[in-house]
Amino acid sequence: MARLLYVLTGLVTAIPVVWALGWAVWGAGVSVAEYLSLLGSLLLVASGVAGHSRRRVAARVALVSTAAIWSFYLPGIAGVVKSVATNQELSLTVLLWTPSASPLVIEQWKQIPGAPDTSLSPADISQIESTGISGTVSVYTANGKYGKGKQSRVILIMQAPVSGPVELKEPDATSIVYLQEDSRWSQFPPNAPTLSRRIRIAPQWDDPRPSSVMVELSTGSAQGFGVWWPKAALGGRSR
Amino acid sequence: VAQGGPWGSKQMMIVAVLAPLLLLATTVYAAVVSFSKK
Repeated sequence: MARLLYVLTGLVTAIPVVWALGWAVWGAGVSVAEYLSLLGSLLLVASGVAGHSRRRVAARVALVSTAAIWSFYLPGIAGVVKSVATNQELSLTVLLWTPSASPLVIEQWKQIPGAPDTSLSPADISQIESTGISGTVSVYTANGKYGKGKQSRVILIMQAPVSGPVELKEPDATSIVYLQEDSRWSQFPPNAPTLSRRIRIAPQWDDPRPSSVMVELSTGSAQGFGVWWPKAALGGRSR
Repeated sequence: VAQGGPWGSKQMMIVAVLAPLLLLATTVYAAVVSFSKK
């Protein structure tokens, strides 16, 4: 029974490691822990195959093997736990702003029945108005969802494509408006709690019109989209 | 609709859950046997 446990554990624990190592073909990085874990799995299978006569020696070899395998699995499990514990559902809205002296006008899309909700809530509108801006803001995209869990909201009010990379902190279960004012960004409310995760906005190297907006997820990966300005809106803006 | 090869994401998910559980069981068992009196 113990021998079967060693062999089965050795084989099953090797599968995710071999799978992870397989990504190296596509350029993924490999770690020492992966090789160490694979060696541990091999040793575990060996202790299962050869451990019928010397039970205690086989158990000690198996114990050392499991320590090697944990070097790969423990950081992985810790990463999953951290990701689940810090996950949140971030709702992202991007508004394009044309500043002028005239009172604020918020242009929204006509809601199509059955389509995702792109309307701004009264709380959103109130938060946009609280920034004190004037002119016209139009919805570029609204209520895009990133992650799962506690609710948080970000409204990006953009005037123009960014000229360099920008990092904005994600709110921690609250709502934040980020306002682009020339080269700097203002946060409303300024004292809102934030996470260490960021929303990254960056220009595209070969085209001044789009800015990429990427939301960092709890897993460490990022999801996002491009924000495009029509040429006419850019006017005489140059890079 | 074909769903790729014999090892899809569902099987990988099962293995990813099973592997640490088996590893834990083996670690405990091996530790008990290694340090038992007899």
